[in-house]
Amino acid sequence: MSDADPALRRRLAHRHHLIGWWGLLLFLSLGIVLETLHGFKVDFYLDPAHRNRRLLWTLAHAHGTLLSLMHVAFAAGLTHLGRWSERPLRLASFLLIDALALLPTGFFLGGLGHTEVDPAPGILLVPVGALLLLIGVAIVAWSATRRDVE
Amino acid sequence: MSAVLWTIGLLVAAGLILAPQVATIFGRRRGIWAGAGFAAVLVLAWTALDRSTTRSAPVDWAAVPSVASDSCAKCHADHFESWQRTYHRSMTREATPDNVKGDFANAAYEYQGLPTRFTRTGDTFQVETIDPGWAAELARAHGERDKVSAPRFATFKIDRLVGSHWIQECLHKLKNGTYIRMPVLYHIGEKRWIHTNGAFLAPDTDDFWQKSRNAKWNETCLFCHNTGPRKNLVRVPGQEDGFATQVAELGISCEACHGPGGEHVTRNQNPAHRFDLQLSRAGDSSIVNPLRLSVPRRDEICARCHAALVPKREMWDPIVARDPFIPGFELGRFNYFFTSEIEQGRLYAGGSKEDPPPRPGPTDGRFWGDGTPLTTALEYNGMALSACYQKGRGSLSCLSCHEMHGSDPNHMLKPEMRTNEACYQCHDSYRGSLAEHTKHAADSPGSLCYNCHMPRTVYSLLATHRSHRIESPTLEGSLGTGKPHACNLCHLDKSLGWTRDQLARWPNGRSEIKLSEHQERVAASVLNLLQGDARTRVVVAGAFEEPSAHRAAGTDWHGSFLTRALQDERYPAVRYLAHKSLRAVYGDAAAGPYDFLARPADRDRQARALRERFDARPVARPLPYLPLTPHGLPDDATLRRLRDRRIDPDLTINE
Repeated sequence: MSDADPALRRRLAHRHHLIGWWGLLLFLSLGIVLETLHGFKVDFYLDPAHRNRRLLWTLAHAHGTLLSLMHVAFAAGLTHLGRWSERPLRLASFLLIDALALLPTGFFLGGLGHTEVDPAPGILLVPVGALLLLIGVAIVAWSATRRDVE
Repeated sequence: MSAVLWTIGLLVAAGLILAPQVATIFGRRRGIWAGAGFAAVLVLAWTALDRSTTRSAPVDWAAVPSVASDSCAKCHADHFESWQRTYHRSMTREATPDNVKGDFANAAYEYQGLPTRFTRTGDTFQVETIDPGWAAELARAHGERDKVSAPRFATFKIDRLVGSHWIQECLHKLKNGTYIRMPVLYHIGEKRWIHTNGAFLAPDTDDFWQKSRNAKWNETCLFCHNTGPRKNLVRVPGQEDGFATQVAELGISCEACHGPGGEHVTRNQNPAHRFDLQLSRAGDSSIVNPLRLSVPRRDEICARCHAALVPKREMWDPIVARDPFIPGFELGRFNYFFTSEIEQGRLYAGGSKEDPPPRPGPTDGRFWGDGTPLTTALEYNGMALSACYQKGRGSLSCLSCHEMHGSDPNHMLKPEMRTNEACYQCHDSYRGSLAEHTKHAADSPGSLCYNCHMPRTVYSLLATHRSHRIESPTLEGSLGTGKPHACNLCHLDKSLGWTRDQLARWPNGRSEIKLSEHQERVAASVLNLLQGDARTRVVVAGAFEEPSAHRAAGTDWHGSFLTRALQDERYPAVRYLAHKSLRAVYGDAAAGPYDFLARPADRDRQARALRERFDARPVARPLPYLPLTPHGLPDDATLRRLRDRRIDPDLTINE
């Protein structure tokens, strides 16, 4: 299996760098919105009947922020670390982007129309996103290990 | 769109996102296969999961296992928390430090010179009190201590508690499984121990254990103060009957209103099943949601404990069988409703339901003469007698005003249901013509619908409560029933004759009703306190406490009249409420000291001192219906003449 083209690695690193920082901006903004809802004691968010919404939106904020940081870290290491083949690299890149899109969105949609018992069906995006993230991270780990072995 | 389609759509969308990505890397054909395969696996797995759980109602509800309320908390945290705040939950509990309300710090209490001591050892609570056998000896000697041996005492470990709102009873478990009630209980509001004879409406007694001798929790408290009860009487030849009593849960828990939850818990561990229910908005047939029931079935859930019932022997045997009623079932299938204690006795004896049923007798402990309930836990009977219920075609139910989750635990009323908004739900036309209808100022207590249509003619646990029979306050509905008239529970200083004349101003008012001379001329409250039986007296004594009565009748005459009522009253509960009314007007310091359960000589001395104190402040305004001397003091000669005509049978209210 041949190594990925350095130009591709740079292009993808740039993409993940952008996605990571813009993602951080988006999800930190969500955090500020949530704090504002706390500050103004908004029933829609803080009422005990909406405890599921509070949990799910907090999870959306946390997952979005951490996954954005993961993208920044991935971008930073991509040009220097690991031994990448082209297809796994492109697949891992897609999967990490999917995870960033699906996980926070799933948590957020789950909190929109939740009941006392369960989140809204949007939450189903979460296991899908989690599965894709798991595969993506596994590919990255595998590629990082290849370098270590050699 | 059904839940399955919704879910399939979502997962296919995930596949569609994935497919072009895979196609970019591995080629178009592989991308399509990978995306479609990914979506297909998810859809098939989800559909299989969804189909693995049935949606039909349990065929045999009696076979559905019970679950503890903690199981419900996992999903229904809000409902669980709101239920936890209720007094339903804490109706029966084990005697743990968290649950015990009474003072067990080596506290002492004396009733009629007989001491009881309350102690605690670690997490164990004990009551050292009069031995039941010695109490029986003393009762046979009519309370004359010099005719019996020296007092004997017994110590009882407290195992279980009943009540957490008004009073808390302490129960001791015998070796044969019987839980017996201690003769002294804790009054939570007053923060003091009181003898059981003072907690329930019953005359003074020489028998220290009278109210507790046959008070077995397994018999008297079990069915309404617990969930999923099964008495399980154990008969052993030559020994007293014992019990192997079982409950699904102590207190009134989730299953009391929602039915057994085992099937519901099992089914709803499946997320696909839950989402299917959520998206289809269909009811979950594995559990009872009272709001999805018809009004009669819904109200009968409350009626199981808030109505007068006798088990139908042909349907179930309460001695050995679990209560077969499941929320949603017709309560009348398993129980007779009774409307008088005479009827209750006949039904228990195996008699059949009579039509018309026998009317309540003059000493009925549950119903006034017209069938209106006079004690709590019969609210359904009262409501069912109301025209609002009978003609309302389902627009009135218990849940019109009450709410089991999220309401104030006191009375469990929905927001605003303490106001006229309760009645405006159906009678909105009165909103704009309230004063015209009530003939009272719109902001006066006389314009609060409850005060006239649901007056406080119900007694239990040393308090008066609102009747749940919603009725027009006609004079005919009160005369001869023992039930004080609603108008005279605020207009304490007015006679029944005055009330009749006032009611004549309303449509259907009848001015020709003949009353006795005393009913015409003497304030109904005074007449009731002097001549009524204990049921009437206790309700009227409680009325003196109400701010609405203070506003309508003034309070400057209460002291002299109520202290006279204290002096010659043989029912502790009446004394308690009369004195509580004094405290409400004058404050604890000015109205004390007085102990409604003290020895007769001590009580008399205390009441005499109070009387002298209040007689020093004679009434200085004309009150034409009160028997007053020219000096503004009660006319004792007239009061005595009226009092001599009192018919005062021994009776007890069976709360």
